[in-house]
This record gives sequence, structure tokens and C-alpha cells, in this order.
Amino acid sequence: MNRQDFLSRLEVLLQGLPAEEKREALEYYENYFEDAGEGQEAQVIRELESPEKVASNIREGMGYDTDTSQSVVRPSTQVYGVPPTSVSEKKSHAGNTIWMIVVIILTSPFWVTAACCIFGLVIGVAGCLIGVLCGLAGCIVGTILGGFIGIAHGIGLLVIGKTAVGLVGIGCSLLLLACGCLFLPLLVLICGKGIPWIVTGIVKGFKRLFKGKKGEKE
Amino acid sequence: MVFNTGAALLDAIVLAVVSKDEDGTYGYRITQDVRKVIEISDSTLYPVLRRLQKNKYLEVYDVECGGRNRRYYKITETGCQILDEYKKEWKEYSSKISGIFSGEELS
Repeated sequence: MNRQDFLSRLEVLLQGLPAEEKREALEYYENYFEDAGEGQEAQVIRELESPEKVASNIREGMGYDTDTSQSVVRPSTQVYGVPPTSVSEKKSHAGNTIWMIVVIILTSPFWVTAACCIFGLVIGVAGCLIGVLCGLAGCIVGTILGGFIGIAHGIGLLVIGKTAVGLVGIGCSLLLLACGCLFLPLLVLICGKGIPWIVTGIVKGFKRLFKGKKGEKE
Repeated sequence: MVFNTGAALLDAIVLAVVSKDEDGTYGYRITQDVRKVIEISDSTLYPVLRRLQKNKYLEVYDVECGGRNRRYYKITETGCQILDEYKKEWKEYSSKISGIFSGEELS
């Protein structure tokens, strides 16, 4: 392998890194070869061991930067010394991740459809529940309103002289009002607790779902 | 080389090596100098330099040289302070180990 091969291979291996980081790393090693001088190419490559080793070290070093909440980048707990044997481990770890991604993409028609079905089902059921609750709430509101309107109407009838009808009207409306008020606490419960509960339940359910998926991946 | 070098110690060594040059020095030179102190794979140095730079212990500047940009690393004020702390830590650490090796009583 010569210098150009080494650097080309390194460039390929650094794919996926932020452009700035990648450029700086490649520039560093280009300079490195230059500064080593003519005829030192083979020696340098021996000392750097391999593009894979260099790339893996760079990637590992980058790991810390993803946590931008830290003001100071902590050094790793890795120890350095004469070439550790963890290179092959790191390689297979990278290989595994790539395989996983490929499998996920290939099976995506299946799990995407399944996910959509489940999502639709959940929304449907929730919608039903909310609909029923709304219906109940509507009934109660209607009853109370009806009661008031009835009373008003009854009074109106009294005023124009239709006493009997008026009194009956007021009587019935009061009954209606009473029924409505009886269920008033239930209405408050439905609006204040029932519907919000269903909504947060769904949100929490999805949150847990995604957290679980993320946890698995990591 | 029997003992492996922890990352913190490596940071300290790199800072010390860079601090020897008032105007800073460049990657290849740093690597060669560090290797005079400890046995280490050359491929590990760049991430260390990068981390020290991100932490503002080292600053960089580029010098045009022979049609390319050669990047120089120079220790910063903060870097000097950190290096002093590392030196103090090392003194304590190494003296305890030297002590037990020379058969001193554990205090």
C-alpha cells in the first residue's frame, strides 16, 4: 500500500463524519506524510498500522463530541499502549450495526405497515371512547340548557296569561334542570379527567414505545 | 513497555511536549517527540490533539509551506494551567508508587 492508497482508503472509512471533521482529519494525515519526508512512506504506514486503525481511533475520539452539554470533553477511559487487540472487536461492532441497518431497511414494508395498522387501531379505539364521552357530556349539557330554556318559556307563558300551561312548563323544566344538575359532577369528571386521561394515555404509550426502540438500538 | 498509558496521562504528556515549543509545533513532530517518551501507536495521537484543541488547551494556526497548509499546535493559557495540575497530580501519584516500590512504610 502506498500513501495515496492509504489516504484514499482513509477518506472512504471516514464517510459519515461531519464534513469539517473529515476534512481536518484527512488534512492532518496528508501533512503527516509530507512532514515525514520522501522515502518515509512505508515507515509511516507501518507506524500508523492501517487506515482502519486510524479511522477507528478518529471515530472513537468523536464519540464524546455528540454530547454538547459538556463544556469539557472528557478523555476516554481507554488505555493506550502498544497496539491493543481490540481492532477486530471494533470492526465487528461496526459490521453488526451496518447489518442491522440493512435488515431494518429490507423488512421495512412489513414493520412499517404493521406499525401503521396498530397506530390506526389505537386512534380508532381512542376516538370511539372520546366520542362516547362527548356524547354523554353533550346530553348533560343539553339537559341543563333545555331546563333553563323551558323555565324561561314557561315564565313567558305565565306572563301572557296561559297560567296552566305555563306552570306545567316551568314544572317540567325544573325537573329537567334537576336531572341535568344531578349529572353535573359526572360532566365535570368527563371533561376534566376522562378525555385528557385518554389523550395523555396515548401520548405516554407512544413515548414508551419510542424509548423502548431507542434503548434496543443502543 | 509494561505499563499502559491512561488517556489523562497521555493528554498531559502531549501538552508537555507541545509546551516545550513557545511558538507551537506540528503533528508529525509532536508524534515523534511523544514517542520518545512513551511507546504508543501513532494512529492514536490525532484524536488526542483534536480533543485538546476542542477543550481549548491547544490552539491551532496554519502556516503556508510548500504549497500546502501545515497546521501548528500551540499550548494556551488554560492548557498551561491544566498541565500544571497534571504535573502536581503526577508528582503525588508517582511518589506514592515509588515509595511502595522502595519498601517505604505505607503512611
